[in-house]
Amino acid sequence: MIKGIAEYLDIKVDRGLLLSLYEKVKSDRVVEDFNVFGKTPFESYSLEFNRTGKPTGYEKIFDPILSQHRKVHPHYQFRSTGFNTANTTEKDVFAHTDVDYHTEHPNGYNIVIPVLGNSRIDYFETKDEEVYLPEKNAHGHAYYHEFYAQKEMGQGTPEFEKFLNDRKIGHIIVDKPLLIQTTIMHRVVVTEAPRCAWVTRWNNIPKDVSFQEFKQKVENIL
Amino acid sequence: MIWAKEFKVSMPENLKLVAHDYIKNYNYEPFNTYKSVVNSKMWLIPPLGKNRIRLDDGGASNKLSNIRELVTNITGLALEEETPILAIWRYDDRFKHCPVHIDDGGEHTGSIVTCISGSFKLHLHKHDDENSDIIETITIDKNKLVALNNTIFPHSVEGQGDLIVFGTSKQTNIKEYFNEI
Repeated sequence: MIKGIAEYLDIKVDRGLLLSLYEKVKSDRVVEDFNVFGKTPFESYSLEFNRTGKPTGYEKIFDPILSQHRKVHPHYQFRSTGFNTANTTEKDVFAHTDVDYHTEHPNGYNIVIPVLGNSRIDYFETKDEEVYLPEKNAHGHAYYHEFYAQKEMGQGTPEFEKFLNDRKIGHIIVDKPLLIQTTIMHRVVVTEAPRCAWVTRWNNIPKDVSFQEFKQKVENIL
Repeated sequence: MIWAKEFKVSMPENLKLVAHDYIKNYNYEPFNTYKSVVNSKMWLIPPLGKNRIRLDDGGASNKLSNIRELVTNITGLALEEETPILAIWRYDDRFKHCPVHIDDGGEHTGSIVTCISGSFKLHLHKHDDENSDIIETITIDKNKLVALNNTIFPHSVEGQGDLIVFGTSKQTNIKEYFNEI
């Protein structure tokens, strides 16, 4: 764990509920039923289609869990909320941030709940001059940072891996529920596949609500 | 039920060292010992004599005890203790491809696969037939352990290098272990 950045949560998890919800949406129909992101080979059953920004209809299916999460905070980002899956350890998520610059309030925190397999989240020192906003989502909003070096050196190259290792500040194993800060560069390494994790990205959180305060709220309610 | 689980791993160097030393000092098993081995060179630790009696392995099994413990810790699978604990299969220019097959499970149900050199592709096939379509492929390298549901799903292997196969305990409940949605 990395204090104040990625910490385990002391909450009850109904794994049976999560598995049953995943079973309801799991599909082989790429793009029609789940998102793929090009540079990120993860497959995501989230609340909206990344290419169009239109709802997937999963918000209703996922209501048994989302209704609980709305008690913590009423706003969540549709694109990032849902099941993230990988059927091989080669399907990592490259180093990035998650940001919401268009919301009224600036803070956002993600809860990650492991369902199947295992993974690790690596965190990296984040300097403004080394990252940029590479693209906008279907709603026209920038939503993540990427290292310039990834574009220059190439994703997965030994040179870029060295760049990342030089900046690594710590990691957390996703074997229990956790709350993560997402404005610092981080990547997900799948260490056991098939892997599935539930993520709710709460956003539009007032700037004076700290990570620790929000964590306490999550633990009190869930 | 799923056909395989993958695990990322940093394998201790002594797997490679012990295996290489063993290959230098022991003969490979006679060709055509197994249905799917054909004429590949395969070393078993410990080696087998007539009627599959375990022969002396010069302490190789003991030297691999830390590896076996690690494999169990990572995969959650107990390993075979009675029959050969490990096989080294050499894939080279004369043997590049292990044909499509389903293991009969006589000695172990479930295998754990990695390699100490080269790289391999483990294919899942639609049917137990050499010309059967490939449904899915897992790349095997020295940083990966693959738990294979080998007695249920048709599979084949291609590649070059030395493939390592651990047998899982006969007590393994594969329905439970590979029971994912």
